[in-house]
Amino acid sequence: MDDYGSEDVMGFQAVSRRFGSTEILKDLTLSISDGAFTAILGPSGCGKSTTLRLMAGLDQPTEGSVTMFGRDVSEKRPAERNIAMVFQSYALYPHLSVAENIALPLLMRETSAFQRLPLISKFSTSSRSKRAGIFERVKAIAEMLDLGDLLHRKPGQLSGGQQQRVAVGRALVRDPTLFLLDEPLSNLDAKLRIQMRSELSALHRRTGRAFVYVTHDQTEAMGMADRILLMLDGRVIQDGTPRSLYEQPQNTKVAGFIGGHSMNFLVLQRGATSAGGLFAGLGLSCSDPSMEMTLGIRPEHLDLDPDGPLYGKVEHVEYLGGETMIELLLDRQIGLETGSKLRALVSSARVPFGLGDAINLGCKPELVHVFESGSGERIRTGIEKAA
Amino acid sequence: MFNLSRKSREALTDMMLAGPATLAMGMLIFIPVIIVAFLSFTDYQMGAKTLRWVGVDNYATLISDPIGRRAIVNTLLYVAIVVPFSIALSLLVAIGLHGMADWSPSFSKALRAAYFLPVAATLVAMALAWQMLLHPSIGLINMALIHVGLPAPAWFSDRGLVMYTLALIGIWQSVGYNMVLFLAGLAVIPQHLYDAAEVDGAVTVWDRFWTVTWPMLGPTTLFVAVITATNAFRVFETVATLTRGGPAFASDTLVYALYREGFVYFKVSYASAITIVFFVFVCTLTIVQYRVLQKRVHYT
Repeated sequence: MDDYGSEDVMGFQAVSRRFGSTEILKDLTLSISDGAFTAILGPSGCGKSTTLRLMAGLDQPTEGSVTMFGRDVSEKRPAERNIAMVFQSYALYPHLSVAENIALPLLMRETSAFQRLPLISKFSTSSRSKRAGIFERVKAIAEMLDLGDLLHRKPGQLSGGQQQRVAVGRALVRDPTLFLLDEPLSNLDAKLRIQMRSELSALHRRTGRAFVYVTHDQTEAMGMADRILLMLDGRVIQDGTPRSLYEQPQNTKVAGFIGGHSMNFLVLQRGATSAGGLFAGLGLSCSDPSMEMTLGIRPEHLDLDPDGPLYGKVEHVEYLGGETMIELLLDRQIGLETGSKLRALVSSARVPFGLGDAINLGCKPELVHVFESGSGERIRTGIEKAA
Repeated sequence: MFNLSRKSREALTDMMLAGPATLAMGMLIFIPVIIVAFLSFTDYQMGAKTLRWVGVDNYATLISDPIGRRAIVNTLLYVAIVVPFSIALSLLVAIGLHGMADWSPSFSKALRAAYFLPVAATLVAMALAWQMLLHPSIGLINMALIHVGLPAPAWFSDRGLVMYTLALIGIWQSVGYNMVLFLAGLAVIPQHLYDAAEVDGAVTVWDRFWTVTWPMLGPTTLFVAVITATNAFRVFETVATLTRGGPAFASDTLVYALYREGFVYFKVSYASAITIVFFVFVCTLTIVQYRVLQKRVHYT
């Protein structure tokens, strides 16, 4: 796999987590590189939030160990791991002002329990001078996050986006080794989400710290992350750069999950590799004709082509603005199961046809993914692609 | 039927829903209060055919008479002990049982039921149990104290001790109810706040309590304080069954005094004055608690 950095800030060794008889994480081994922006992507219930809680130390593995810089931290509490976390619900303290919310991690670390006592904190001079120093730093962070005017407000008086910033500020204020973000943008409206996306990316560049970002939204993961761990059913099913996940999905599950429009899968019959069939028509050849294969083609990689090997009748047309999604019922041809359908995304300017028209579609051979039908795994050897 | 506008029909529905209860409130509470307030300025006695306006004489008597003053001071003392101790104790128990529910739900439930029992049981019967427990010579508690070589106090007949004994029973009686309220309050504190506190470095139980539990329980605590205080002001059953205000009025309280003056000595006007003083105390306390604390426990 790609080299993401020299040191692993966090690692899981054969980690399992069971709640009663339900196994949420199954024998999970992974590593988070220092300084990288890693996204843990997966549908809800895949175990990604549990993974993050294990990283934070809010939960402990049933089996296996959690390490930081190679040292076992399974027994260590979040504060000892020096991680910061931004929660999906922000988890701001409603009774504290913005400034006090951001200052809390510093107060907890840098003042004694005695100095934090409700009355002592106001009247002890040592405590007061310490507080003054802390609030200077809080102010600097707040200015950076555009919260300067809101320092004395309570979280309940802020908008969702502002609350999000306060949560980020609270994570940022004490320079943690690792930032954990649990679906931090899912409660924001679409416009704000895009804005916060670039702000978080900028924050990552500025701090240079490792970020682990849990999300179910692939556009967030693809757009922000250096590396994506794609999780399904408590396992990491692919680990790589956003580009490698999109261009070389290791199996049909990854292929089906990644991509704005879901991939077309064409199940091929035995003997489909013979000359004159679809397989050859797409510019592919295979050394092992006994293999049972499924072709994966992304809708955005199909294009109108009068000589294209994929042909049939237009069944459905969806106008999406600049592009149009067409659904095709493919005609019978060698190797293809009857009733196969194909969705293609083509430029709206190139759609002079309507329902029931017969059209041809083509696709570059290097953009066709070939999977083994039974296991769904990507076939790497034995497939030749015409240049 | 009637050709009414939609607005008037809706108004009529509202009146029908709220009307009967409002009427009953007026007849059973507001009008009697006005009558009691009026009677407190007269010399009316139960069964008397005439009454005479005496101004604030009844109030003057209540405040100047050592026995009346005693009742006021005793009641305030009782409230001052029961409210903080009951709140603190029930909060501790609630936090304990709330945490216990994680590792032993059935044990936690059994203890909840046990703590709630004093609330569900008849206090008069419970008072008898306390009387037996605290009996100076054959009571279990004194026997235990003697056994370990401590002095055995006369819980109900020592004039300096009797109010504290009653307050103890008052605390015991109210802890269960307050605990249920606190448990409800604890149940709605979102777990993510504890997670955040943990990440922020609130490692000790003490830090987590001050960072999350106590502030988040603010509204519950205010409610518990108001309920406990008004109930404590009304202390009557234990006094009536255990001490009858004695020895020598050492455990006389406002409500017991009003019962004695009104229904034993038939001095209705004097009892009315006591009632009004009681009413003013409870109202003032409640208003002050809400005014002072409401802003500090709701955070929006």
